[in-house]
Amino acid sequence: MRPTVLLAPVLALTMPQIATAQPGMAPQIALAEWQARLGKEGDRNLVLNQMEIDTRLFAEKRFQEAAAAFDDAIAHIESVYADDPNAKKALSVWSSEGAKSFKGEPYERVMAYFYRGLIYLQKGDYENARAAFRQGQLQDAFAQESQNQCDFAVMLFLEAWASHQNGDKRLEEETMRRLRQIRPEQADLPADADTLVIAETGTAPRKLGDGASHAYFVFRRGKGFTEDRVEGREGERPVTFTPMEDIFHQATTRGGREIDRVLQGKVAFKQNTGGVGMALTDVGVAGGQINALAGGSLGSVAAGVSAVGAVALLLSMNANPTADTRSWSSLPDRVHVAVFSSKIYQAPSVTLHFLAGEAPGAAPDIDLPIETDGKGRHFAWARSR
Amino acid sequence: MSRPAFLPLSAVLMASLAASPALARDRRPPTVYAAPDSPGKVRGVGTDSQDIVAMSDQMMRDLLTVPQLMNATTAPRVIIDDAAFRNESSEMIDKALITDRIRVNLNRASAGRMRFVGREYADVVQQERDLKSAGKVDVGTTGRTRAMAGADYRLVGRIGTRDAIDPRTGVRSRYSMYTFELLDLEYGDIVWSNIYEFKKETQDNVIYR
Repeated sequence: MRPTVLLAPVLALTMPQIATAQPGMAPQIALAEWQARLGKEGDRNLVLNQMEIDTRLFAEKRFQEAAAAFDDAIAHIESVYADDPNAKKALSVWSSEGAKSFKGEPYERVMAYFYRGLIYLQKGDYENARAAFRQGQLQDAFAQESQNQCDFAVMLFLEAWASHQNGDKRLEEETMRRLRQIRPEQADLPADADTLVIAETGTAPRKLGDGASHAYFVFRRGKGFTEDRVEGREGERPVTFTPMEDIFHQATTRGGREIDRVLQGKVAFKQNTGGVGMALTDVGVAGGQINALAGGSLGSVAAGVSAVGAVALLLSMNANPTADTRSWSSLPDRVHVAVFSSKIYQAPSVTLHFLAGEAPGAAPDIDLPIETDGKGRHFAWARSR
Repeated sequence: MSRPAFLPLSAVLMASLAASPALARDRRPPTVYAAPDSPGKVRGVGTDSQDIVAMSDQMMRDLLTVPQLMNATTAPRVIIDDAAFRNESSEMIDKALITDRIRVNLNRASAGRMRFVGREYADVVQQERDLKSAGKVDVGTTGRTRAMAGADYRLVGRIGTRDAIDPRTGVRSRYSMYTFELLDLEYGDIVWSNIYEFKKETQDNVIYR
């Protein structure tokens, strides 16, 4: 009898079970559940849980609470985890990448600063808003190919907008020049613009495990939506929305990660020890059969070979090269922006109409009130889902 | 195969695996006091509390040496707040942490040789003055003045940063420069300047690159 049959159920009891967020399930989870998870799941999922809590608080316009939660998440994103025990555990052969304390992929970290910056804009703190948008861009610096590094257009646009609101013409112009390096068609901000409307469409990119032992992941565009454009109307007057960012594109253009090499090494270890283990147990079993025929003189040798084979199989079964598929499920698919002057568009709200290409999308229209920030300028945000 | 030889070995192996701790339940330490001027446990390349303490102390000590402030016949009036202290950096920061600390410590150290105008509280002062003018409250114990105090000097400044990242190694660095200046509010000239600058480098765990 192969030792693996005896060992498998025992190993199932001893191997640690690591809970991971299921893609597609999380949007249905309410704020209270995420807050409960924050208390239960500790540092390993602190940033992920804070991100999920933050977007829900933001959507409910509980900006002060959202600000505190985002600041906590950002402090952990910014912190250096060189000696973090969870990070060391995740690098070990015996633990999956998901053992590490979650910080998010670069696009997720950028979006934490995106929302924090919007909260500063809503409050009228344009300098800190600018700092948030600027700092967020630095999280996008790790793309494998240089043209995909620091190419988060919406962050550059909002940095320029914050400078515009703060009356910093020089900084606004510098940032718009940087934006036009990736968006050559982007026009200057209208000099009298004092209103910003942000519309998000769709649902977050999905991170799915793939390959042997799910040692790497692939991104797929979010599910359950068709809309990818926004049209606005203020009374009878059209409001033009520019599609400023594709979050799925940002997720997929990051390229390879350093940890991918570690995970491939774990895969190789798992496969090699598994192969050796199977071979040795086969030899051991065969040796046992030969031993019986030879009158028992080879018994201890056969047993030793089987034992070594069993050890190798144990090592292989415990090696865990699974990539981390945790992701921020409440991000949008795309971000669209519109800026205009309240002297021209004087209505208290703008109607958002979501389109899938040229056709109407499935998401209902939204009549979005325009709010006034702490300095008398105007801001509004809405999401199609 | 010798079953007795195999079973103890398996038992030892399984026991050693079972002894490997499962993911430790995170135990948050209880809240403890930490010195504001000591490095914290959450560290990156940004401005920490010890930087704020160090820079505000340095600026305060330097302001005590400015002749226009310390040797004037009449105590000059100074505004020290964050209204004209501009953040042009990549760092989200509450500027008032710095300017409040400078003002409070300078006020205490100057022992009356300077007077500090609370311009950010001007609306509160005006509200009280309106009540006195309307006769709804009495004139207090210090009497009325024609107007609120005008200021002679104001602290102005700028925060700037320069960030760099090496995508290959994950090394991040930030150079931060805090510029402090004292502006003559009548002539417009700068009577005092100082800089607090630092650079920090860090490298995160490979698992986050």
